This record gives sequence, structure tokens and C-alpha cells, in this order.
Amino acid sequence: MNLEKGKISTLELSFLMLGVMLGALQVTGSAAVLAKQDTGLTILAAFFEGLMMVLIWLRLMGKFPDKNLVQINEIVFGPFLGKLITISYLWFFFHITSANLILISNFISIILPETPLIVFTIVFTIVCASAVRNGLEIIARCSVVLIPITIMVIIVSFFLLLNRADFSNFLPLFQTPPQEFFKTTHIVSTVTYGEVVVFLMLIPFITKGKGDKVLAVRKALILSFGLATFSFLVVIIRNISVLGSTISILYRPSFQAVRLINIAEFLSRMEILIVLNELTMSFLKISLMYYVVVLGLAQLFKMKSYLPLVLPTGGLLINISILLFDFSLEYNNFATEVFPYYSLPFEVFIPLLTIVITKLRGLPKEREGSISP
Amino acid sequence: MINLIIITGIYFIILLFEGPGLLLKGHIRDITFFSILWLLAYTISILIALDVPFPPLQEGIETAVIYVINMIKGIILLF
Repeated sequence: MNLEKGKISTLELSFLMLGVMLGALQVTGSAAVLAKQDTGLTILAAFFEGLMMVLIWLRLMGKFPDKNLVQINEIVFGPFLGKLITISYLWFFFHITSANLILISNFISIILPETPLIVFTIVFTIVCASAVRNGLEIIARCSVVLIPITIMVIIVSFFLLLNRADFSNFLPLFQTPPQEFFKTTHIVSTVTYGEVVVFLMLIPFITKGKGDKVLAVRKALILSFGLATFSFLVVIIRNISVLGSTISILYRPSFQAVRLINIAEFLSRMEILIVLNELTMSFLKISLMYYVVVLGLAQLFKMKSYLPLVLPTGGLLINISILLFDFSLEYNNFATEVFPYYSLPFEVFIPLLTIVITKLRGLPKEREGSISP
Repeated sequence: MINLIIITGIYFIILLFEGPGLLLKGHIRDITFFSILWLLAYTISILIALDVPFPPLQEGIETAVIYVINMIKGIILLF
């Protein structure tokens, strides 16, 4: 594929996917509303549900180790249906991007209430468009720099809040009814881990190194899932131990928890670190999704380069994000009530169907070093 | 009115930024799809600036998803 010349290592893939998952950190707050003290357990359960999804995606990747989702759809479903499925996937990624864009703009507008929301949306889109124009390698390198800082901030804030932590806030455990527990698990897994399905668009750009590509990608994804789960757990333990039952009524619990850091009247007002985390992770997530949408469109239209589409797509992103939600709370409702079902076809059913059709049609005809994961 | 002028300015900057390079390279497909997307984005921006009511996109998605879920639930209950 000539549209993108850049290559990323499996470690960079891990960091990129970690960016996608940590970009949904606020969802752990929404999960806490439903599962309260059991949120940590739901995150662990969601981790295993996420691993199931990874197995499906890796099996699909094993069949076509050098093709991305657009090419796979066209090979398996034929030119017409394949294009239709690709368009629906691109819409899915576009929708996630615009939702995240309005979410982060809303968040900043709370800190800077005098500035119109549209200013944040436009500025953020310009920054992301610049990253997308520079290509996948640049986004990947940004993730290698930004992710360790984010995880460091999460860990440091946890230790700085230890003096305010009350671990009895976790009691009583196992009080969530099974239905609520599974619902929350499914919400966390689809919104955080499920969005990693975007890596199927990046398969051709992953460098093999030594050994098998699928195995290397599997290791990379498990590493990123493990690190993301660790980060989510630290965040949830910090928030619940500090905020207690009020976590379920607070907007952005992490922000509220870190506000309470006060070490000897010297180290205080640390909430800016949470803003920094949200900004950087949203930047990574939005840039990657934006890149995938533009790349997919260019592939779909058989263009020579994806660069001409970057700025007009940015304009569309801003427009759609304005039309989507008025308040972040609407997003929370969407993320908990609708997204778990809305995302299922893209994250599970279509990849499964693709594998089944691949088997039935005996595809790929000429397999080049592909093995099942 | 000022919004319309700002939006038009931004979109014409995009046109000036991308247009000459595209025309010099001369790939018809690239020019065509860039123009379509640019025009689409510009039109929607203008309509938003003019406060033209749009169909509720998010609510539409939510209603469709809930409709499908209920339909599946109904089918399951039926059997």
C-alpha cells in the first residue's frame, strides 16, 4: 500500500493502543456510578472480555497478515458489500473521534468557562490534523513520549493521595447485582478495550522484526491491555478510597480526587495534571482515529495520497462534534446505555463473520506465512 | 454575519493550502474527492452558523440502536 510509507514497531503499537484505551479514562468514572465499590472487579472482568475480542481480531489478522481492514473487507465480502462494511467502520471511527473531540472540548471549557467551546474544538482539531498530516510514525512517537508521563502522573497522584485514602470505602464488596455487574463489565470492555479494533487498520504498517508477526502483535496487545488495566485499577482505587460513595454523583471523579492533594500546604492544586493527562490521551486517541478515517477514505476512493483529505475531514469532524452532544453528561448516557450495543457489530460480530466467510470461501487463496494466533 | 465571514475565511485558507499542490500534481481522483469533502464540510459549517435545525443525529443513532435491541429481545421472547 503506497498511501503510508511509515512503519511502526510492535512496541509503538502497544503504546498507540494504550493511548486509545487511556483516552477513555473518564469511562471508569461512569462505570463507578453503576458498580460503585465493585468497579475494580468489573475492570478485571472487562479485561478478560477484552482479551476474547483480541483473540478474534488476531485470528482475522493471522489470515491476512499484510492487509488492513479495508483490504480484508474487499477480499472477503467482495467489492460492493466490502465497501459498504468499510464505510460503516469508517463512520464508527469517525463517530468515536467526534465524540471524543466534543468531550475534551467540554472538559476544557469547564476550566476556561469564558472561552467559547468552538475555540477549543477548532484548536484541538488543528493540532490533531497536524499530527495526522505528519503520518503514523509521528503519532506513534508522540505516544511513546506521552504514555509514560500519563502513567507516571496516575501513580504519583495515587501516592500523594494516600494520606486521604480510606480503604474501608471499598466495603461492602460484591454488593452489585449480577445484571448490573455484567452490564458495567460490558460497558468498560466495549468503550475501552473494544476500541482497540482500530489496530486492524494498521496491520500493514507494523514491522515484523524477527519471528512471526501475529505473535509479536499478540504480545504487544497483551502488554498494552495489561498496562491499561493496571492504570484503570490505580485510578479506581485512588478515586474510591478518596471520594467514597460520592464518586457516583461527581462529574470527573479523577479531577475531583486530585484536587484534594495537599502536602504541607506546599504541594496542592495538582488537578492540572489530570487536565494534562486527559489532553494528551485525547490527543493520541483522536489523532489515531482521525488518521485511520482519512487513510480509510483515501483507500476507499483509490486516491494517490491521504493528505488532501486531512483538513476537509477535520472540518467535518468539528461540524459533527458540534451536532452530537450539548453536554458531556449526554455522552455518559450514550456510553453506558447505547454504545455497548452499538459497538458490538464493529468490535465482535463483523470480525467473527469475516473469519467464518474466510473459512467457507477458503480464503486467502495464496497465504504468505500466515498462522492462526 | 461575522461567523459566516470567519467560516468562509477558514475554509478558503484550507483551499489555498491544499489547492495549488493538488492542481500541480494533477491527480483527478484526489482533486475530486478533496473538493467533495471540502464542499460538504463548508456547507454544513454554513448551515450550523445560520442556525438551520439539523435532524438530531445522536438521538437518531440511539433510537435506532434501542429499536434493534428491543426487536432482538422480542424475537428471543417469541421463541
